[in-house]
Amino acid sequence: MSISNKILKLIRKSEKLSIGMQLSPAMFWIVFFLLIPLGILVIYSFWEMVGTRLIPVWDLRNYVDVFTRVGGMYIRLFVKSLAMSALVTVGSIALAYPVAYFVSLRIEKYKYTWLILLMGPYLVCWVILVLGWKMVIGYSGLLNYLGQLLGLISEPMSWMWNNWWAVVFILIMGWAPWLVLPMFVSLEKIDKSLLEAAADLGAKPMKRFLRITLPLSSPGLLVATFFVLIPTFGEFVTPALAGGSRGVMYGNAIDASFTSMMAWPFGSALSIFLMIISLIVATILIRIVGLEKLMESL
Amino acid sequence: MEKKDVVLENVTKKFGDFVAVDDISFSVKRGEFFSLLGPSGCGKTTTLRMLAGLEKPTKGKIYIGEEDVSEVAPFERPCNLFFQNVALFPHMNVSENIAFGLEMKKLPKSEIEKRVKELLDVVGLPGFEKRRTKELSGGQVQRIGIARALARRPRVLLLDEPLGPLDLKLREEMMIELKRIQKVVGTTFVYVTHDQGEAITMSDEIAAMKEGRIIQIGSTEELYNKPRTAFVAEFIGRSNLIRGRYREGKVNLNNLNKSIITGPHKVADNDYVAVCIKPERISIGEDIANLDNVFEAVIEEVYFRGAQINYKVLMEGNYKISILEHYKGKIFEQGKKLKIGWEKEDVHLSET
Ligand SMILES: Nc1ncnc2c1ncn2[C@@H]1O[C@H](COP(=O)(O)OP(=O)(O)OP(=O)(O)O)[C@@H](O)[C@H]1O
Ligand SMILES: [Mg+2]
Repeated sequence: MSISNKILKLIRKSEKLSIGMQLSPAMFWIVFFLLIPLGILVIYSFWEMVGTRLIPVWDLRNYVDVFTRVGGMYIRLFVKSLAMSALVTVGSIALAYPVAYFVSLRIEKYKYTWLILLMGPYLVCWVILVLGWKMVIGYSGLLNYLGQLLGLISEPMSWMWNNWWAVVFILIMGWAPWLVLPMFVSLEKIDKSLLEAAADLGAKPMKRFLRITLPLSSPGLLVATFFVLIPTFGEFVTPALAGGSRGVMYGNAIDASFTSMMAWPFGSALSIFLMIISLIVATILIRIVGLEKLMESL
Repeated sequence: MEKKDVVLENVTKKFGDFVAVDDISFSVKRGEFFSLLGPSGCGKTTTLRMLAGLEKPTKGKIYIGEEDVSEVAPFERPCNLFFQNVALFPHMNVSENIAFGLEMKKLPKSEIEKRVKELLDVVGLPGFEKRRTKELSGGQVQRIGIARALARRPRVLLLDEPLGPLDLKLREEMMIELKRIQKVVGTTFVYVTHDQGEAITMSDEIAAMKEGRIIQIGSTEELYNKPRTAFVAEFIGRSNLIRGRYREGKVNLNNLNKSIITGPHKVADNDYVAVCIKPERISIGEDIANLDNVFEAVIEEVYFRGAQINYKVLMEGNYKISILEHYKGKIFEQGKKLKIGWEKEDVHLSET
């Protein structure tokens, strides 16, 4: 091998090294913010807690408990939370998609102003949002007040608050504005002459939507699914504030095991289980869309 | 009377205050290859889009067949448009693209498959059914676009610069191909281009457009030999233009105290005209005194093109003249002083 070749190899090696160096801030980030807390959770999930003392027993009892404790209540709660998340995802997409569609395809003037206005709810923090809805649909909220005032109901309706549908409703209302943007982006990217071509080839408006607009905006839909579904699995603020005892979600169970129950190892196992399921769902979604498409539509 | 497939009557299109198409009228006979020829921005695409129903005329009437299509939606018109940007559906493969228009017609599946196969044969791409649109070359994209537009067997096919993005060689091949396709399917073609070569090669009839107006309509030969205005003369066939004033069978030149003998023309005396002479009608040499018109000239540039030689000469009076001559083994050199000349029959007078 000639000397120049050797030098080339050396240069290549050092290049690889420098890429490693460039990556190191990212590595630091991941280690510090993710791996350390996650590692502690993983370790605790194999331990036991007696009183306030943690005992390293190193077995799977907490994971077995996830499925069996209180007659499988936790796993049932998990399934219920999954269903609620799915419902929230579908609901917030159903709410945001038409808005994004309208802004992208029907509005010509001040498109971006509209977009910014639509994202106004970004500015409101979640707790205020939930309590705001309490003012509207809560027991002594606006709807009940108006209903009584107009004589439509004789006493306040209690079915609108402190149950699981209130949780789902508020989550939908809270997420929808976040979804307008990714869906707007993927709709904007559709070349309008494709719709004209479809019309020219005999497609009526509904057919054009189903055959052209919808499939071409599907990356945006999947991005939306991704960003709503996964965080909602572990949601605990909204159910705590608006769900009452009937609206409890899996996230509240995790919360309780770290606080009132003083069962950190069990809580850790609940968390790890949730993360594994999230990871599986995320992987499936990324597989469907492709990572690049996902990043593009951000 | 012959059957007309397309008729436009005094059609105008305004975008705000801007007049993109200005009071144009023309008609296209059944089975004809009709071209709209004009420079960029003259309103060709706008005219086609009005025919396709994607743009509503501000004024005027459009008929396809005998039907007034003013109120007919694009998806119900008996014509199909090949878009300037082709606009193949990116999420569908080749056969799905071609089949789209047929599915909208609700044809049975077997019939659709059969037609897709036929169309791919017609455009010379058999076996391309499963290709993705990203995996096509430039020329193949254009062909699939044509196949998709032909699929519904439209009464009129509207083509918006289908050969625009192709290189010269491919373009020449595709011109022959398109003409062949038109013969095979027998559809009326309305073809838009800014390339006079394409229009001349394929068209039966040409409408020359400028700034939203039609300047002249006629057969290819008519426009080539008898351009109505200097614009048409320059645009089609690259005529030499010498401006002057007509008087009794002669044109007195603006720059030179001489005249060109034209013979009698249907032009009023003292009118300003442009004398058009085709490059191939001009003789060049040292001894050509027996022609009607002879002028002194100096050769400025020489382009040898094999069968032909193209001389760019500077004629007396500072007129730049282009001459095409058959190569017979002799080339004049740059800088040479000699004579150029032409007969009065080779002259055509256009409006300036
Ligand atoms: N939707 C529109 N709004 C405003 N002006 C337009 C619109 N569409 C076209 N125009 C204008 O109308 C004129 C004609 O446009 P058109 O697209 O018909 O030109 P064209 O002859 O097809 O040109 P090219 O050869 O470049 O494609 C242009 O000046 C263009 O800017
Ligand atoms: Mg155009």
